[in-house]
Amino acid sequence: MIDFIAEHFVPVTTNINHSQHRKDLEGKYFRKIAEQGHYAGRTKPTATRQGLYVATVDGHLLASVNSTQADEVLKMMKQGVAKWQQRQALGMTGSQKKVRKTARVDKNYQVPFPEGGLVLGEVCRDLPRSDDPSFKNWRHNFDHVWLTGKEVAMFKPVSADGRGKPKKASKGQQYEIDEAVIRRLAQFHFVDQVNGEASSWDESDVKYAVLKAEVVEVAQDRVKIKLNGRAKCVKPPTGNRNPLSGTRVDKERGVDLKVSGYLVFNPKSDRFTSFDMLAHGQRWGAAVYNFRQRDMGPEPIGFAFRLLETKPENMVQPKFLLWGYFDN
Amino acid sequence: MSKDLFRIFLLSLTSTAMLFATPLAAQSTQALKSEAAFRKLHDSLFPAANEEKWRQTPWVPSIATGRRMAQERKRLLFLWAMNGDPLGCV
Repeated sequence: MIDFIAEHFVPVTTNINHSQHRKDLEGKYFRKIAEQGHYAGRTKPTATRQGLYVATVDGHLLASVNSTQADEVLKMMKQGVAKWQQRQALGMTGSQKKVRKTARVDKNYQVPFPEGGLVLGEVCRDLPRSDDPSFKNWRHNFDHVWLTGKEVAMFKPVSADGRGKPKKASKGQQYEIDEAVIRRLAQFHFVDQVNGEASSWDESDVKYAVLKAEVVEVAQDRVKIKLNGRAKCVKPPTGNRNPLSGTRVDKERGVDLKVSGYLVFNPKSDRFTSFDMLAHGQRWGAAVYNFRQRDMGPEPIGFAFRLLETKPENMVQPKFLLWGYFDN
Repeated sequence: MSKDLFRIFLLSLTSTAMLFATPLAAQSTQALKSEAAFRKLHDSLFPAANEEKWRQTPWVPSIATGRRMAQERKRLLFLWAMNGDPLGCV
């Protein structure tokens, strides 16, 4: 399938929570092809337009499906290519109008990456269960963390002006990471998305979140920092009903996690070269779309983080970026 | 090496060996007492190579950029649309 995609397509990903609503060319194009596809016109049980689409540059849909089965997806792609070849044979190549390089962008969906910030890759996954050795934890989900320049500075063991922190790091040096940073991480990133979607925690759901740092190694261009902390979030029952299953998830959900990490900071370049962090512990309850109704727990879960390069595929927005992500 | 120091040395060897031997299930809710234990659990959460094959495809996370590329290359668009970007949280 990888070779077939490479041979025939430009593979594109999109977040329909944005592209179904954007008031710009990107949104217009997506709606045009989606309304020719498998969920065209659908409003119940949801108005989702999730799926896989093969389309021409000018927005003519050739094939589509919403499936996780590789053979069904490949079949759909082959149908799309066959239709395209038929059209080409008939001279129907579509509009030759050049796709504009600069077009108005719906600013409601654009949040610039923070200056001096860094991006972390996140994975969440269930952890093995000691009471059930047959339990398989292959399901996992991703997200990206955007830390602002100010937040990154809080993790550094030094400050250039010597305010609050020394100019040079020393082994054994301890400092606390500002509570607002770890509370923000907990609120938007310690969320059980393993099987499906869950909303972020409200600010009041974060019962506590603390994170301390200690310098454990110092070399000329390498300072190693150990992180240690805890976070607990609990959301009361919402009473919301899942429109697909009709079931009501009416119990509280929460996480109670230990937070740990090892960071490597280069004082010469004033940059982190490694940022490995982990939050692990118990989760319980369920959200409307996270498919935990039959797995209410408490059961173990882990959230792992590491530094990513700032290249386009790593710069996909954090899931909750448009929902108060930088408000606090 | 004094007898006490030797005991500490042996204890540290034993505890390190125990940590390496501790199954992940047992670590699931415990505090991690060493960097080795941290690495073991941290690394186990990231996908293995066989779970990352889909990333071999050079996904473009922008319809606008993808359309321009498809026009230049005379290709079709293969669009993966999810609640949440497939390259991030879905």
